[in-house]
Amino acid sequence: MLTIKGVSYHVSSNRCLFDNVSLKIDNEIVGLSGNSGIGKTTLAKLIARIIPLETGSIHVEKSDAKSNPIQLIWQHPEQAVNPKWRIKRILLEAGEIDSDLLKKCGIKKDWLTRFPHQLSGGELQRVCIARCLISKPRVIIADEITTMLDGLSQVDIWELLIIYVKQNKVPMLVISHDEALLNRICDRMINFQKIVDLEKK
Amino acid sequence: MKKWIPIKLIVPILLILVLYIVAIIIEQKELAIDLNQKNTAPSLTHLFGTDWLGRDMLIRTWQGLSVSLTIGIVTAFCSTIIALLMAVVAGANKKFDRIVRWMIDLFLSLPHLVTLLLITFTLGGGVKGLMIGLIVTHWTSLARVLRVEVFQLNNSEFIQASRQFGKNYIWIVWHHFLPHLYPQIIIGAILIFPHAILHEAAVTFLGFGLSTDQPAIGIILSESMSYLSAGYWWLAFFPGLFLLSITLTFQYMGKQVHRVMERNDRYDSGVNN
Ligand SMILES: Nc1ncnc2c1ncn2[C@@H]1O[C@H](COP(=O)(O)OP(=O)(O)O)[C@@H](O)[C@H]1O
Ligand SMILES: [Mg+2]
Repeated sequence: MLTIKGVSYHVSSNRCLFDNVSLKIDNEIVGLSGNSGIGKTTLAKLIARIIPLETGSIHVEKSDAKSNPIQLIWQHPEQAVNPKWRIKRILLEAGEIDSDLLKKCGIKKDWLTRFPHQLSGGELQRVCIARCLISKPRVIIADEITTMLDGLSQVDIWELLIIYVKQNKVPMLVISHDEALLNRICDRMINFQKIVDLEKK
Repeated sequence: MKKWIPIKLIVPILLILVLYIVAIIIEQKELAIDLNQKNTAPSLTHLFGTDWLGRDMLIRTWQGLSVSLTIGIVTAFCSTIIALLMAVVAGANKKFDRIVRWMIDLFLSLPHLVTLLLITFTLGGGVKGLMIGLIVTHWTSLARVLRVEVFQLNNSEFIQASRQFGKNYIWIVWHHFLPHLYPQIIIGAILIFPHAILHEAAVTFLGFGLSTDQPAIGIILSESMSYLSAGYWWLAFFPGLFLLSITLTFQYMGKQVHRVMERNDRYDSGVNN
């Protein structure tokens, strides 16, 4: 379970991106929609503690792993991995490689010795997803993870993620500007625009 | 994928290596003083001519080179280490970054040679004083380059991801930063080299650096000044030319290393796949 209370973010001292945002996610898949530039990625980074919190609090079930219990999967997989590392080393950074998990993520054995540029965008995003799952997250935030991919890869990736989170009871926040996609995969939807407007009133 | 080293890079490396090894060997040799042969112009027996004591100027110049190259190597190595440490410290947090930036700006705003003279003079000259002076004044430009690189890496997504997996800063520096920075580090070190040699010669020439019994090129140049008016041009011309050639060789080597690394980088990023 993930609880977010009163989180705000200021781009500059007089421009507030969003103010006092609160969210609660149980073991469910929640979609967060909203136009580009509204601050979805910023919120995701705040939740994952990649940017320090200005105000408010974030609560999540403690985990004994070394990794952050809240894991973000990024929009551009080629930027989220070290271009000079082989896939095996990229995966090992998150923890021990579990071959069963790799199979579930559709990662082929011979990818492990390749460099990131030797995989397609969809294949590399699978690697990023596998890396995220290896770290045993308690919450997953998927920020536009299939926006750059073709339709077929999109379907495959969502299928494997949905199976994983349902089986392991991991809450997942899916961020996208594509409401049709969110409608298909999410248990519940939140419109970020409405949250922001509500707070501004 | 074959990573050959081009001949254009091997030649300058070999050249400097041979020069240096020969210089170390002949450094021990006491030069014969032959007063019958003093101040002779360049000839086949004495290619660079002889000085006021009849010593062969080619040998003297070559011996001077050994001191210069040693100082160059030590300075380049130490300055590079300092530059790297500064960049890494700056990347640790915002406060350290401000301090490092302040130090870089301070050293860059002071005239290079003046700072060098001041430090060397304060430390009482000699090899030690000169070396410390050189090291303290030569880390800044590389540090500035590396600081920006570290800053960009720190903000890149794969480093943020690494932190998400619980890796600490030292681990990230070792496993992510160094492999990314090493081309810049090597090229930076090679380019510090000629700078250090020229500055060493300049400070020594001005009389603040090495003592006169050291066979340094700076010493040879400053001594020869008093003989120039007598028309003994070769006393300064050949040692000066030698020094200049070494400097240019290093510049050239830096450029070639840069080319090789860029090429390897192109292979790595798969453009030529
Ligand atoms: N550090 C920052 N400095 C200035 N502007 C920022 C910064 N971070 C985000 N922004 C601005 O915040 C807005 C929201 O960005 P983002 O969170 O990426 O939106 P979304 O993911 O919804 O498209 C953008 O207009 C962006 O320019
Ligand atoms: Mg975004």
